[in-house]
Amino acid sequence: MDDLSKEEIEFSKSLQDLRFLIADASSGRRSIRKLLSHFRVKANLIEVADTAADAVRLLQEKRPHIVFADDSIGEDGAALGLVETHARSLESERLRVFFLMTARESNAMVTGAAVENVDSVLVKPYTFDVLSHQFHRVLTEKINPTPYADAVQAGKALLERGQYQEAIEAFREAMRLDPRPALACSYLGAAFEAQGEMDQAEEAYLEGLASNPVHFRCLGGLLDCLLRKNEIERAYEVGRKIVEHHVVPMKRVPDMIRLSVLNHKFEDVLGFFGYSDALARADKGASIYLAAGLVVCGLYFLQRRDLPGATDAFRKADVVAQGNPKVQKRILMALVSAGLEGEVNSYAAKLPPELKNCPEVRIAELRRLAQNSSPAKVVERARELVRNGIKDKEVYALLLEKSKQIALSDALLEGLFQDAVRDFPQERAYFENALGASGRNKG
Amino acid sequence: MACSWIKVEDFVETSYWISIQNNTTGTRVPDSPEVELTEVAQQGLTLRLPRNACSNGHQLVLTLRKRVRSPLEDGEEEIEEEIQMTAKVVQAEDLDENTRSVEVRFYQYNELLWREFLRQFSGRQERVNALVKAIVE
Repeated sequence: MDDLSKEEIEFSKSLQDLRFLIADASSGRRSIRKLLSHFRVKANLIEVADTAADAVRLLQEKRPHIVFADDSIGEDGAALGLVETHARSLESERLRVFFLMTARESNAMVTGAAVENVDSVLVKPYTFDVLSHQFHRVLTEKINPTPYADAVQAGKALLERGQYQEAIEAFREAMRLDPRPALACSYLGAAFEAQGEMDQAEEAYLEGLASNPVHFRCLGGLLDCLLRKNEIERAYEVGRKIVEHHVVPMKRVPDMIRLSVLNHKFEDVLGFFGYSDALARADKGASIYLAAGLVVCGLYFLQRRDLPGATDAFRKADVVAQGNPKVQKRILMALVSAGLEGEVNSYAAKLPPELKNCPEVRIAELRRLAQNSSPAKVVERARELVRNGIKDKEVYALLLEKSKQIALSDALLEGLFQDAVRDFPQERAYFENALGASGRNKG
Repeated sequence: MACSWIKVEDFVETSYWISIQNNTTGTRVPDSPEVELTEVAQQGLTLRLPRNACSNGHQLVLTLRKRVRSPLEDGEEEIEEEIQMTAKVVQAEDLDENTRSVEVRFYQYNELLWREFLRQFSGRQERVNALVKAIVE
């Protein structure tokens, strides 16, 4: 061991019983092999995977402590997916380290990886010295943790195993070991959240933020907690604080869209549209959130009688939705409800028949008809819907109300009423009220 | 319309790309995902190349480019800086049936500029470490 310093020799001894996995089909695996050889890791303790599927199999079979995974292995996100498999395979062991290697990095990518519990991101190209230093530093912190870090790690292991009460005790113990225990507080909050104890979770996050007002995990935990408690204004403020002080990983963007919608910050929602392509590439879920958010924007603009704003929001929602039928249906229903006939016709023309003729849209059409057409027309359309099997309580209610208005005979009205009650026995009072609304003399 | 929740600069991707001319065979190594720069040193670097790209002792002209891309804006890649080096293959080792790992040593290059690139590489790692630290600690 001539080329190792005294400290490195000690370090290499601590690696003797550890198992390693290199999940990398690129030339990076040669560098990692060289690194491990430099620290005298025995070759029989090193596994190499060329594909993500191989890596998963080796994680489960060999249960390596240390993983080096290149982000080019497998499909997008496959390397990050290995983090969870790694954690599960070593549930009962305290020491596990995950290095993610990448040639193309951005702040958002790195932050996203760290949020997924990657311990270190190695950016290529690197010098051997940088690689060696990074490996040494990260492993040393893991192998010889401070009492505080050790206690947090113990709590995390319990949390992962679902032993929440024990985890809570471990995190409380950890909090006594550091004057600024924000990390322990963040996990304490997560343990309470896992048990559904949201008030105590909030208290833990706030305690962490008292020692570090911009602690990422405490802010993120508090945001989740407030969203679950439906405290949307406070959640919005916390979200703004995260954006102000940290890089927001793509995974958080749906929360930001949701917060903007719930707080009626529709300018924000429209602002997200500018990045819709990138959002779709990074996270399909974010696209659906954005499309749904834009629909809500459109509905809000409709309420305020801002028709150009509404149609613009719906157009954007349609672009972002990329054919998602739920979103398309919602847009069509909104256009129908608003009576925007021109927009309805041009939009419906590009939709498949099963979507434009779906019960929800037909009911929305009937609702609209009831606002601006003669009672006879509404009765005719409502009867048609019922005949076609669209038996909705609102359809029946409109049928009863408008039938009364066109002075349908009491016998026929009674027959309709009985049909409605037969299909919706729990709604008798609702139907009576519908008849009453048009001034019917029950008899 | 700008979005106050998203900082475009956080999504800007940085990467380094290398193109290669083999002066010994008089051929250019086509750009492909198989060409990859992994490790750099004071006077050389390690690459992955297609298996038939070069052999021990071959003379290569390497052009290294720093590229940035903003996927939230136009998504086009821009070349920010570049450096050219003449190098000799000192070790070539097969990685798989299609590629090999190739170690080269520079003998004609702008030493000051190369040092600047090396500083960039380590600075990039330090910046990444700081980002990770902000999340995990």
